This record gives sequence, C-alpha cells and structure tokens, in this order.
Amino acid sequence: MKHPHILRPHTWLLMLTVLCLSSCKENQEIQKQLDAANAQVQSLQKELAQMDVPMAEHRKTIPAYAGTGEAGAKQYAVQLASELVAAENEAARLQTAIQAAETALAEAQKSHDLVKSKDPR
Amino acid sequence: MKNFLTLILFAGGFAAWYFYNQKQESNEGLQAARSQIADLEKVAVIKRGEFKAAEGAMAIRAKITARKDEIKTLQTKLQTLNDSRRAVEADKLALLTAIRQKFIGRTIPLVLAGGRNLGQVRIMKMEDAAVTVATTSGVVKVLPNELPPDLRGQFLYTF
Repeated sequence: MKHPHILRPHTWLLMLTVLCLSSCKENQEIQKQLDAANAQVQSLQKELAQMDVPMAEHRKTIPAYAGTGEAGAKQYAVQLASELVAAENEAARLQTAIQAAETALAEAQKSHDLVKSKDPR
Repeated sequence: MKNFLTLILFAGGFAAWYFYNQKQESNEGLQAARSQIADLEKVAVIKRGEFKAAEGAMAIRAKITARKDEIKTLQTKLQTLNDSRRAVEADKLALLTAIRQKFIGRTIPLVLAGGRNLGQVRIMKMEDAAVTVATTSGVVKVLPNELPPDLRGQFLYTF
C-alpha cells in the first residue's frame, strides 16, 4: 500500500470540510443568540426612549414637593385622588342645588302665572 | 501530493483559527449584550414603575380637569336658574304692586281677622309687608295676616 487510508488527500479534505461545517454551524448558533440579544437590547432601548418622552412632560407636572421617581408620582396620585373626590362632591352638591333651583324657578313661575291670571287689567 | 497535503493542512489551520476567532468574538459580543440587557432591565424596571405611577396620576388629573369643567358648567347653569327665578319674582312683585294700586283710595268696611272692627277705612298704601288704612281715629298699618281671608285673597296677599 503506497498511501495509508488516513493520509489520502480526499480524506483530509473531507475531514476539513466536516470540521468547517460543524464550526460554522456552532458559530451561526452563537450569532443567532447574539442577534436575539441585540434585538432585545434595541427593544429595551426603544421602550425606555418611548417612556422618556411622556415622562419628561409628566415630570414637569409633578410638583417638586411630591418627590421624585415612583414614590413621588404615587404621592402626587394620592393627592390628586383626594382632589378628585372633592371635585366630585362639589359636582354632586351643584347637581342638588340645580335641582332645588329648578324647583324654585318652577314654583316662582307658577306663582307668577297665578298672579297674572288675577290681573283684572 | 505532499504540497497538496501541506496546502490542505494550512487551509485547515487557517479555517480553524478563523472559526475560533469568530466564535470568540461572537461570545464576547453575546456576553456584552447580556450584560447590557441586565443593566437595561434594571433601569427599565425603575422607569416602568415611575411611568406607570405617573400615568395613573395623569389619568386622575385628566378626570379632575373634566370634573372642574363640569363644575363650571353646573355653576353657570345654577347662576342662570337663580337669575331667572329672581327675574320672575321681581316681575311677579311688580305685577302685584300694579294690581294692588287699583285698591288705593277705595273705602271699604274692615273687620280684622282677630275680630277688631275698624269700621269704614280708606286704603292709603299697599305694600308687600302691610296695608296702610285711614280710619276715623287715625292711620292704621294692617299686616297681611291680620286681614280677613277674603280681603287677603282679593289684595293678593296669598302669594
């Protein structure tokens, strides 16, 4: 035998091709993970940027005494909730006052009409 | 043949180095990206909490604004109703005064609801609060509730 089987060039070529293919496959797998990680980074950055725009406006509205961060926003929300309750109570009080005023107006109109009917002129 | 084998060995070595290097770079990139994700997640958790709380506060604020607008509308409506009632009452009062004017100067027999007989009286003045009459003995101010029911009705003191 002039060349042993292992030393035949096509065997080496075949081995090299198999090695290259397997390494390439492994690298592709890592690249996929990297792409997914980069996509996640981009997604998070986008989410943060999207939150930053309205938050900049919200921070202008939240008074300094309420504090900063989540605690400040929650504190402000509690304060606003009590203001809302007060506003709702005021609206309810006005509704009642309007009903009373409507009744008073109807009675005044009725009384006026009655007086008018007694006018001999 | 030997040259061919050497070429294959060289190509194999180069390919191995290339793939190893590529793998290293990818792994380093992956590690960096994972570290960045962890950092961003930490920031995102804090920001999400703040954002959610701020959004809640802004929603309440919008409700307050709507309520305040509603309150303004209701106040205007109440004001209009009160103005209308006052106008109707003023009109009624003017009408009553005009109607009562025709009784002034008339002479009528007057016995008060309490039984007091004032005899023939001349009506001098008619106001909302009282009727002023002239009797033989002087001027008397008679309150509407002292008038007999028929006169109270006639003089429109029942309103």
